[in-house]
Amino acid sequence: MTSSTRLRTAPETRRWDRPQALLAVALPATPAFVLVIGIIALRSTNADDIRSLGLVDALPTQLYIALALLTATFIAAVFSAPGVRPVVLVAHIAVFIVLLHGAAAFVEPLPRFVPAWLHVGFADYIARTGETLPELDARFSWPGFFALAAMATRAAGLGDALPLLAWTPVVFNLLYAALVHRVASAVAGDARTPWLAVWFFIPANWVGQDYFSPQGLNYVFYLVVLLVLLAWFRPSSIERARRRFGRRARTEAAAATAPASVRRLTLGPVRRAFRLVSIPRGALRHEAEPLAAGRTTLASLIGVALLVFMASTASHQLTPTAILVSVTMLVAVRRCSARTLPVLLLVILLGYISYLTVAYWAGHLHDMLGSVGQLSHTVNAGIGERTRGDRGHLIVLQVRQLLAVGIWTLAGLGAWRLMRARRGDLAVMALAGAPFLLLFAQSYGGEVFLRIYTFSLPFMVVLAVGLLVPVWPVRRPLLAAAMVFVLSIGLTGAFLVARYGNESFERVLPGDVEAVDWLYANAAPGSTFVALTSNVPWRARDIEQYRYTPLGEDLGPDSVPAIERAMAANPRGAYLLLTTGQYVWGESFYGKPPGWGASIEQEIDTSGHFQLIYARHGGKIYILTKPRGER
Amino acid sequence: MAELSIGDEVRRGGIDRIRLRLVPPNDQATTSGNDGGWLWSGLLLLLLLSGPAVLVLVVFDAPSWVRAVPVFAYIGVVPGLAWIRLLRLTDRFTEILLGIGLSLAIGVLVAQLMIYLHAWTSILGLSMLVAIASLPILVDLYLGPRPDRSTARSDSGDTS
Repeated sequence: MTSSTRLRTAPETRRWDRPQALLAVALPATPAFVLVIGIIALRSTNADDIRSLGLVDALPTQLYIALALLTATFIAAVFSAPGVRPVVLVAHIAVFIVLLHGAAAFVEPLPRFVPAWLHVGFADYIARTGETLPELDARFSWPGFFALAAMATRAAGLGDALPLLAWTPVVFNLLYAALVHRVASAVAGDARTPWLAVWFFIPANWVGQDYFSPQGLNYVFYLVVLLVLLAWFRPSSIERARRRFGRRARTEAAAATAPASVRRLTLGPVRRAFRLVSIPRGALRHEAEPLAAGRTTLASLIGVALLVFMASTASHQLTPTAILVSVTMLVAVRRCSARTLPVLLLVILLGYISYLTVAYWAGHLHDMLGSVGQLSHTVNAGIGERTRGDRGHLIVLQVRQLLAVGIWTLAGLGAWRLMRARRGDLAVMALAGAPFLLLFAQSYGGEVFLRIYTFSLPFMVVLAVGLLVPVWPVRRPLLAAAMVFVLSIGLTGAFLVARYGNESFERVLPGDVEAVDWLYANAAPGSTFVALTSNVPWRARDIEQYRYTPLGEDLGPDSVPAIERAMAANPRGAYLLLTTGQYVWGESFYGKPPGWGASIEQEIDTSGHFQLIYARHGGKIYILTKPRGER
Repeated sequence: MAELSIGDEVRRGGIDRIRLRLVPPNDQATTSGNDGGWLWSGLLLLLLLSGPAVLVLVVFDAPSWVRAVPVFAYIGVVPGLAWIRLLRLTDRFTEILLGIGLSLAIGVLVAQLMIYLHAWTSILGLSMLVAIASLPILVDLYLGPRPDRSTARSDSGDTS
């Protein structure tokens, strides 16, 4: 298992010499060619063409053709090219990531996604003060990511982390892809599986947790810990055989008592059908072996895993729990020889929560533990309450659900096929299933299904690839390659809808930023900023110097009296900020009627209680001149 | 550098099967991850000197376009890689990935430690990272090239 693993075909395939000579020239050139075509296509895309189906409405045909070409040559390289160099496959994967996960960075003038801007504000606060604000936001109780970002950006001479936002998803996904490749290499007995697993992982990772965020970094930690355990701490085949030797010897001896011909005759049609789909004995016979290492190396690797887990515990709420659940599951199914590791992880996790997050849980114990074991509440929060919005948004949600169910179904079939071929891997199946236990923990603000999907994805794709490989040498290589091609194209198309389908409100508009900049330049510290929804690129700086309504990710006051009350509550002054991004979010995400923002704007203009002090590029700022009830 | 090769004998009875075998390029035990002595020392010296070099850029307030990439690369790669190299993993790719993961983890812990100690400055944080990275590199230089101990899977053979 090395990075320079090559795919080499059997000598009989040399009858394909001429096509393969063509491939030998075309394969290395394709990634660069596709990258150029893709960038030109993305740069020529007009962000104003983004409609309710998001970026898909605006992307040109050339991009789809370029992605199809890249997919075709990658599959050709994996399936039929003799001795293809890994660097060629790596180049394909890198270009695929840049074009898919960097698409918005090429098209949109500003970094997307308002929560990423908020994280810039958190890092900026730490960089300026060297302190956290746990009473302002729960995320400050897990400040590791923001502290690292603050230290790195200031050391790099950057004023804040905004320049990092646009390309963070690309960098994170390059790291994820590399780690998924090593995880798949650690468990697969086929050289093609890791490459195909990565190729499926890239478009299947539509969830969008890879932006400038603690969870984006923590996904790296999650994969690192599990890679260490899968590569070095699996029981060897000798240990596994020793455990099952007694039982197996008895069952095989019993089976051997009757001749095969007699056993066939005694099988009825139902039992024959059952045998066609049943899992045979020894389904896990060919599980991968652990890498050899001495005691010191193994102890050091456990130290690495613990250190990474400590960093995860200090920087995110959910990921350490996911790591703990997955490691416990590995131990439970006897696929991790570090059997006391879950106890150590639990001690670290409880220790951190008990001592370093007191400021948060002292007032939010119900938020943390209220939904433990409440499965129906968690399912309702994760699916029912999130299914809302305009028609385009509902289509996006349906595509996301189909994509998730599709990946899980393919993984299930792949696991079945692998076990039928006696190549099943219990560790991979356990890790694919373990994140579902998070359903019993908490709803995580209705996002738990997204997180379960994300945490299980690396192992789901490995199992899904099991449906297609090993296939070599094959009687129908073209059929196998065609199946992979169709699946890849389907996943890529679904990715563009699932990931960028909400781009109408997830992109950040220049007019909105201009209005926010004006506010920070002119508003007195201590005053309140009021908006109709939280989809405003504010709080990216000076977060402690102003008050914000709404503070969370939701709707603000949406009637004129409610707005007046919110603004009058602060004697130091208040500003009402109305921007296009808020209206689009309300309509698309919350299903508000079209034109609701404009009608509120009209009510404000005609109420006589507000004075317009700023109006430019879709952004408007008002101050309250005469609160309701005053004469 | 090992290769996965596919045997000729595997087409049997119409069932598509694959047998993969780890084939080391040569039978000799590698030393210090295939590096020659001077190359190995040169790489370690480069890692060792990169820390002070980055610190100089920060202390003398070099423009951000000059220091941004070196600083991010150092924080994201070097401290963890310096420690992981001590383990002598022969899979370079895995070694680098674990090094990056460990570097980010160390960065998180150092930055958070400064917050808890009320001793926040980016230069102090970077200096701590340079110290953390330099220690294993110096140990590595002192010990010199050593043979690899974890070169293959425990059965060192057929993984089909």
